[in-house]
Amino acid sequence: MTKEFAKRISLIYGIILSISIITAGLSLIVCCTHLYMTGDRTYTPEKVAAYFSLIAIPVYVCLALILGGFLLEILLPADGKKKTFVAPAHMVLARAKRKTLTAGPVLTADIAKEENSRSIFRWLTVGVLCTAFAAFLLYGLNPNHFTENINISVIRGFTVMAGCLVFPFGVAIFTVYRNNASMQREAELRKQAKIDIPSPKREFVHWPLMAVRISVCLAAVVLLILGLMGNGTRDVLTKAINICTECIGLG
Amino acid sequence: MQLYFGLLFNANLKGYLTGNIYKGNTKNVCVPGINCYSCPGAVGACPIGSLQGSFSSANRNTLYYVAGILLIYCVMFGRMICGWLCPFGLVQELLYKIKTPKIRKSPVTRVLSWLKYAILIFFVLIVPIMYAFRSTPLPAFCKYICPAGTLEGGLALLSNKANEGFFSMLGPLFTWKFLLMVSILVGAVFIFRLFCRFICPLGALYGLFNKLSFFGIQVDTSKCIHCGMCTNTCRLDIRYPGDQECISCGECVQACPTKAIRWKNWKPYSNEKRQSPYRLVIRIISAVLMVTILAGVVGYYWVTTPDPIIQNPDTGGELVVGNAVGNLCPGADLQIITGNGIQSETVDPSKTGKITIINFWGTWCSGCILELPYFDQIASDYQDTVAVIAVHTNSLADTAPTYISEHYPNSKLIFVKDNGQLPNEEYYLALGGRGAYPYTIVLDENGIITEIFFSSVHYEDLKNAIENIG
Repeated sequence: MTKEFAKRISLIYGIILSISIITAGLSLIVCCTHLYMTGDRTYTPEKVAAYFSLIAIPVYVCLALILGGFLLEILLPADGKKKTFVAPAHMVLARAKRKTLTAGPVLTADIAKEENSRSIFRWLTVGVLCTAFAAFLLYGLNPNHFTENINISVIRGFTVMAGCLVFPFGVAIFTVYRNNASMQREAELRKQAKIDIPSPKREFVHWPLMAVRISVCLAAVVLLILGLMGNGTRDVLTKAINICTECIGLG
Repeated sequence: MQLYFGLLFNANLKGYLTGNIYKGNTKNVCVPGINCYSCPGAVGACPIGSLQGSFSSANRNTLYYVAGILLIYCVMFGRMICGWLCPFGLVQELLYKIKTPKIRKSPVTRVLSWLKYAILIFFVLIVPIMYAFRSTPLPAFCKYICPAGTLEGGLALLSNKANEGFFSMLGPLFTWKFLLMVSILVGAVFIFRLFCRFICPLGALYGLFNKLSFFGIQVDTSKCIHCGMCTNTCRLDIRYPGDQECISCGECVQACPTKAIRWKNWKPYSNEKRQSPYRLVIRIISAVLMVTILAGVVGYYWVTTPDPIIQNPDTGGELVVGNAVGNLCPGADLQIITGNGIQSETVDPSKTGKITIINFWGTWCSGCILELPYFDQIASDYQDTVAVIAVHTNSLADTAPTYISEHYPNSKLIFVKDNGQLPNEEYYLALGGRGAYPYTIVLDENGIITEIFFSSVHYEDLKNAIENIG
């Protein structure tokens, strides 16, 4: 058997297994939803057993395919996939900046333009995120939005949260792609450059890291001791040894 | 290592057989990873669940205690806990091993990884704190999202025949959580550590301390040549090893061509090809020691976990649990609780001479708090014919008077405290309670059990139960 053949079989098997897993998952979801939505909306062991016996076949097929995959790996070992190595853009740029280069005035201006444009998009993204976060906090820190109807309040809050996140995440994704492309361009320009271009040095404050670690550790120990002395473990124990059914989603 | 710690944190194997959760003192301590404390095998408390619960606790020291434990884990290990200790991370990695095409990381997944911070802020901080102001404990992440709770707690409990009664409590919340759990588990087959990367608030919290932590991964910038091999090898959305997304799994350490990536303050394995023979001996001894410890822990919990047998106080023998419909309800003298405190007067729920509704509740239980108004309404509407007795758990019974005086100062409800030595809830167990709250039993005028509710109830359910007796 050629390696090409083994690769092809592996690929076909992977696709069939993916479809099977997704089908099994969807069957479970549909089954559960149907069980809840029809009838009197109560679960009993008999109803659950009856419903899940309907989807037994796709689940067993899925399990058999998973086990089959491991057998296939033994009988027809596919070559370790040669990953096409693509260095991340920020690493490519960092590598390019380490080299001593020389460049003409046009190239210097182009490099500065790339850096400035990335900075602008970065700050724009930060601005949009902060605005969305502030808007979300305005909603979230208002006690009137959390009423006695807990489910409705949480669903509404989650909807607001999702709404606040969609646009900033979109902007962030666009910025990341755009900045990656810009970093690649700048790396190319630096490779072609012919004079020294010192990158703007960011002033980096070296915190005494170990001192901070120890301080935080001490603060944690103080909190722990305060908690232990004030019998703070009692509530933790009570919650842990009794089952609040709604708290674990049995409701 | 993840399997080892998964077994260690769920060492109460007897719980899986009996369907009861562990009630011992080790549950005072939070384990580092996501491990639902309602799992029958769990021997410790969940840190995220404990944190949410501490916001609504009347005792501020609970918050100090949980915050102290979490800070220690954060500053000692950071997100290394996710890579080495978390049982749910193990489940996801095992699913990822299934040979399907995979969805690789990209700038989109990098941005989506910020979603877990939003979940941390909203579900773990804002919602529980806001409802704490209303004296309603609400662990929103556990209730609405956590798939570990559904898988390890919910399904593990339901799969035991002794907990058949739990099926009656399943409704829309369980349906939603089951669908979410299935989606996450199916997604984890195609996306590496889907839950850890995009949803887990505990990972988000630990990630904030990654650079600060004593143990983990760091890059020696003097040796780094920015080749990108580390980020390319890593399956997570890191920009560089040791950032807030890094779970310190160590794959990049071996991939780095200049050995610029190293472990902070620890070396779990050596990159050297030639290893000294002593290293092998140490490894064998360590492995034997670890297996012995695990076996010892499992054995300890097996031996010390009591069987769920209730002793008859008169004869010392096994008490026949009278929780079936049609049985005579066992009696007990339960101390009355008022807004002024726990009184010496007692009441026997089985001998009121009226239709009696016995509700087992606790100030720490959100479902119980939310349904109490219905019991109050029933007690008010049917005060001549129905006695409604709210039995608070033995645990934290001293928090009940304050709650009663604030919310039910003139209620017709009779508040009482359960009996027994902590952590037992004697009357609750005698009536067949399986550790789950809330729990409601309806008796007729003769003390015969006519209905049992394993879940939260509404006004209509109670009204129907009363009318069925009439």
